[in-house]
Amino acid sequence: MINKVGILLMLLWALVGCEPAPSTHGFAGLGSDATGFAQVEPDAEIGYPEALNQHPDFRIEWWYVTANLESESGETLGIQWTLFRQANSPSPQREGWANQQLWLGHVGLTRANQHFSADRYARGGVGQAGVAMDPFTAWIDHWAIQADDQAREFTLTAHTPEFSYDLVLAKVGPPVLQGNQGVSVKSPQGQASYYLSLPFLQVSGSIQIGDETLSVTGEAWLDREWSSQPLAEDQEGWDWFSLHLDQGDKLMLFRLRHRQSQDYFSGTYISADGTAHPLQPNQIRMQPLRQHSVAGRRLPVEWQLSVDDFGIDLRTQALNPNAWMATGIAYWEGPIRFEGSHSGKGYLEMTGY
Amino acid sequence: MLQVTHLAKSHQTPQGPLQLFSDVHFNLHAGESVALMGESGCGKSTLLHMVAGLEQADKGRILIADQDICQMNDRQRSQLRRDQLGIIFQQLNLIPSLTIYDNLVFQARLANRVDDAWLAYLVASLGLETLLTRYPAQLSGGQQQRVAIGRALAARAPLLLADEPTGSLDEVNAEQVITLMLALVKETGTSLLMVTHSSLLAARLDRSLTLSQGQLK
Amino acid sequence: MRLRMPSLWILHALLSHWWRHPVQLSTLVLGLLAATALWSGVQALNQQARLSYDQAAARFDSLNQAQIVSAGDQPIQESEYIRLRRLGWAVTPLVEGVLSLEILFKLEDLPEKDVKIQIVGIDPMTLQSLNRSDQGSTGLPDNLSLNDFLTPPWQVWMSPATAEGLRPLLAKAKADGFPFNPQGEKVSIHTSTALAHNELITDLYLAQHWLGMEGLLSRLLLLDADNPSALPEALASTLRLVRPQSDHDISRLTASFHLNLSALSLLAFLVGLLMVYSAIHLALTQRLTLRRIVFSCGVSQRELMAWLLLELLLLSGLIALPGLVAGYWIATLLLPDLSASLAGLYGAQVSSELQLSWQWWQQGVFMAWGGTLIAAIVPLIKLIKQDGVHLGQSMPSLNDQRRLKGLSILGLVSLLMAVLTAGLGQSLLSGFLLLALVFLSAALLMPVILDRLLSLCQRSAKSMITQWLWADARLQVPNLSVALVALLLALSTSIGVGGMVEGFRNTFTGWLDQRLAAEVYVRTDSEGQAQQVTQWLAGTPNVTAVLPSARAATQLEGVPIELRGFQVHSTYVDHWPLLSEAPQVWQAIESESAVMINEQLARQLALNLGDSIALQGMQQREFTILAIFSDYGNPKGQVMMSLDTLYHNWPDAERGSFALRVEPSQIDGLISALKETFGFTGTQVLDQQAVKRYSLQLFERTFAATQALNLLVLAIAAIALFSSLLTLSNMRLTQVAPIWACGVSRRHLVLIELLRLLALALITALLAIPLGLIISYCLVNVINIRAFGWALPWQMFPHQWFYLTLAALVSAGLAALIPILKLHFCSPGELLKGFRDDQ
Repeated sequence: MINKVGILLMLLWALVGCEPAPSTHGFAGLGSDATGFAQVEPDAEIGYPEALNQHPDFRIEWWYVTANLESESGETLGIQWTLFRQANSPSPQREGWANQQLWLGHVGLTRANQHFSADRYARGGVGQAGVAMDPFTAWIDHWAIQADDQAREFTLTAHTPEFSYDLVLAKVGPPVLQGNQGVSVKSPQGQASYYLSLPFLQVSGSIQIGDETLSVTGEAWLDREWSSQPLAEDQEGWDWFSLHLDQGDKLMLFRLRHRQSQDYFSGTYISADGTAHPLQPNQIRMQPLRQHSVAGRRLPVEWQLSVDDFGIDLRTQALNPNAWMATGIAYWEGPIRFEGSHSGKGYLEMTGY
Repeated sequence: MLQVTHLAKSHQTPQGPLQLFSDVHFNLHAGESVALMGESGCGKSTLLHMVAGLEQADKGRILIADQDICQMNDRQRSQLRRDQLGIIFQQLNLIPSLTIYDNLVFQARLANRVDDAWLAYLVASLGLETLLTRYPAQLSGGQQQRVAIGRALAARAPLLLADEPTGSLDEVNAEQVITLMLALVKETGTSLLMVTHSSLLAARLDRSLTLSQGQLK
Repeated sequence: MRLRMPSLWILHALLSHWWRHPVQLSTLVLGLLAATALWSGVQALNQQARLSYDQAAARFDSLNQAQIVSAGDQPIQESEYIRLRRLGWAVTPLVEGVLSLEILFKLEDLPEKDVKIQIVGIDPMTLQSLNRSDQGSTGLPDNLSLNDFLTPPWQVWMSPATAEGLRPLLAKAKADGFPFNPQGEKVSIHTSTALAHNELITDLYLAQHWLGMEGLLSRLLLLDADNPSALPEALASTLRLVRPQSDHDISRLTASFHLNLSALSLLAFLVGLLMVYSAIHLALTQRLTLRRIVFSCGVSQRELMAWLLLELLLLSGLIALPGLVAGYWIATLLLPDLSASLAGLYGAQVSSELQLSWQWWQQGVFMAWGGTLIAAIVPLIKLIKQDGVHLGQSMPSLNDQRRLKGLSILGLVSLLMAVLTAGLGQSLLSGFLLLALVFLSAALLMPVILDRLLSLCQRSAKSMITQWLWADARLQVPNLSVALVALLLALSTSIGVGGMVEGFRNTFTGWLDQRLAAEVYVRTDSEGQAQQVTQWLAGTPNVTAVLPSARAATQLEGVPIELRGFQVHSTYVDHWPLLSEAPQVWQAIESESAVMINEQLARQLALNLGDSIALQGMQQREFTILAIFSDYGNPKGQVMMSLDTLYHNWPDAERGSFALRVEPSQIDGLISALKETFGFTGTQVLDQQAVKRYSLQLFERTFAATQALNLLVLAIAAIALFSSLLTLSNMRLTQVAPIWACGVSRRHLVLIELLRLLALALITALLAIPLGLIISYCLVNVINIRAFGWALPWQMFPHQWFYLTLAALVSAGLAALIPILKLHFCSPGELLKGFRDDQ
């Protein structure tokens, strides 16, 4: 889930109008100096639902939902909803239009033969975008996720000229702390972020694509992550998986690609009861298989994933290999399904290609 | 050096085509000098121009250094002129905007055969030392013709074609120029074909041919 | 010296000609220089204007934008903006205001009281994101860094000229005014030529601060909606959706203006090319000897041709560069006038700083090359066709006769085509084609006419000497004809353009007197203020009449037009400049809601008196036209009706303009009282004299470029004549020598020589007058109507002809000076040379 940080920063760099210096501050400036911002502490306590709130002292954070859905007629779909926040200078927070927070929303919808994406931009301080608690709400313009008082059920909405969705996400399992009690390490040098997931979400609702309205059900995964300097300097992109195994277990895996050294692997095996088993880099094998051309780039849309210690050996396949997010900064993100030692479905995100 | 066989040429006139000659033959050996004589309008200048590749023959062959100039295209003929021929007209032989020196070396430069020692010798022989930086308009007719001879010889072309080179000069000047030219021709072993109407002049060459009523004798 | 490529010596020989003939070279240089400079100068102006239009059209606050404004007098509340965003409306906020320097800097006693700064606050986040969807540019500076723009101390962007203007004030700025942010830090100032003059672009945060608009927004731009839906009900009472005005396509409006300039610059280019032609022609003729020698030394025809072309391209390429620099300079000189007149005529903002693309330079060089090749093609073909060996024993008299015959046939054909073009075709382009054909015919027929005239003179001459004078002049015509044609074209253009401008000026001043009958004009800011002003005026004794007017915009047959309501009053009845009217028109307008339309609209839609037009009024859909009035300088169609008719049918018409009748002695007092009472600026209250001054100033600036170009063309023609004569002067000796030998003194010869040239110039000038009149007729009755939509009376100005004829004579006299002095001071020996055969 580091991915999202990079996208935000890449986007800002694009807006800024100058290319990030390629090797000095890591990918898209993610490794740049975080002086003045709050730092990730190894022994912090992360609680739920407080983790849903914003953490403006940190430089970046995001609220991120993916859902693997199925319509009444049996069609497989996927949706994405993301809200990013970035501070362009450290606290104290300035009021009104002077506020230093920038917000960015991304939404996507993928079917086997179609893929849509859209983005929205806002600045903090005036209410166009933000996050509030009691109950939890995160929004940018008319795209929003809102929880009930106990944060057990969420409504998720997005509307674009091409598609829109209104979904209800019911929490059917506990929140999961990723990494070491919620501190997810991103590099051998120790860059890290706070990382909490809600992998057990049952979805129902409706999707509108053009004139077509679909009733859908399925499984969703919500990620919360915040940090001030999550990437090492030479990390240039990543491949991230969230997998719903058919028997109810969950698996999160990512690979950070280094320009100069060995790739960094991390992940968590989550039992159906919510018990998290953090995975060490050497436990994980991620092997790109088939390459596919989309938007002038070549990306691996099929993967071999293995975690021997948990008897995992999967071969994943994209629902739509053309799930290209043609947003300000483009990347690949879409639903996948997998076979092998286990079967199931999930989401794949690939950036920096 | 030069072999002309079965050469025919007619001119277009308002009264219809006029046959100048229909079957002309002659040879010119290396180092030989030949005068070409005949009445005005008999076609002797045309014959010379055809040898120079400046005018096209209707029929026949003109071999210069064993190459048939009649079979050549414009570019090849030009190349042949540049390498093998030196041509002197009756007047207006010089490029008005170039200095005497630049005129003198013009063809040698084009043929890429500039030989400074030879040039110096030519300049001295032709008495042009003091004139090199002048322009043609500042020279007398005789001086201009001397420069023209120098230009034709500077590139060491094996065949010199002269069309009444002294025709526009007074007697004294003409004598001077022709003497210089013949001396240099002999000295260098250059072949010479010269059109003239003066039998006195013709007598100073190895032999002379007369074109009359389309026949060469 | 040895060259890698021996053939380069051919180029050396070719070029040597120019060094030996500096007059020819300078003719070529001057001709090409002038052609390139004038052409590229005007192109630079046009390009700059087009660039400015594009920038304006691409700007975030372009008038082509759908937007949301406040329904009342109050600005929009921020909460209303957020509400719209949260409803999914793709809007971006703007905070705008105009501040005087005094208020902006919070400084007192500033010398420049009238300078007003437009402050525009933007939110780059919403502006950028919305813009990305349509791939356009926002009109924001390319090098704007979002992070810096949004981070303390924040940024302000302005044009370099504005920055230059503000620099002295920045030093004495106080911490509570500009350029300090609310925290008291100095903001960083950046410049970009993409911005208009006296405009500051900054973040919304700072704009609100400096304008005192915290929590408020001026308007919201709607960026993605092609077809905006209705506003939500809760906001509909406070906000108003304004749909894009498609009529504001400035480049379309100004196209005719630029076409005019282009046509004139093309003419200048052609006159320059005539010089180039004569230089090249002469150079090639004089290089026949060279050609024969080069040929006999073993250079093929084709190779020589290639070198000749290369030589010309080389020379013209080298000349084109300084020509372009000169063009740039001309453009810089003309740009201020051009931007002023474009702003006045069309409201088009043209940046007064010239920015040129590399394409402009490239185009200029290609134009020079193309022109040179066109000028060279005939001489080159002649050279090739010439026998390679024999120096052409041409028979000039015979050739000339044949040439004249050919020219007269071509000239008549072109004349016929001109007549056909005049009859057919309604577009501006066909109008210019007509002009071009008239010029072409004149150029072709000129030598023929001149020849006939001279032979007529020759026959009627009594004495031997005068007979020789004319015969010799006739002999000179072929050599001088190019220069004389250049002079003819330049003179007739001067007469045509001068007549048109002068005629327009007469008409325009007369029209202004009629149209600006009221003494004082007031424009208020709002409805409320308008009411206050009305009340205040009612209590002011010196005002004899208050004539309110209002305006609204609508469309007629798809053409955007302006509606104007006015109060029928003797001021209008006595003075309004009507071109045609039905009887009892004023009563009809007052009581029967009849209307009058301006000339532009009448011509554009072919409307006549008594016609009905369909307008979408609230009460009424049909309006009868009872008068047509002239409306110079207005690019738009206009319909005038009584105020009551306008209010009944267009209740939301923009009110608040007044014309006031005042005793002349009271004008100044009233104006200062109005300014004092209501805080009006100098542009809101105007006295008649000021409006007239402004209009006339605008008029002058509009034609400043035209007249400057015109003068330059004339100068080029004079130079062409001069260089031709100078070139000929050497040949003249040959021709004059026999006369001298026959016992005519040199003094006498000089006199005859001068007389002959003056006679040629005089004849040319006399021929130019009718041609100029034809051109001015085309301009006022064809081009003007098609370009601007109004006709002008075709007036004649003999004093202009007189001055131009005088100018032609003087320039011919000056041009003849050097050759004649040469003749005067030449030794008998040199004259004797004329008898020699060579050279």
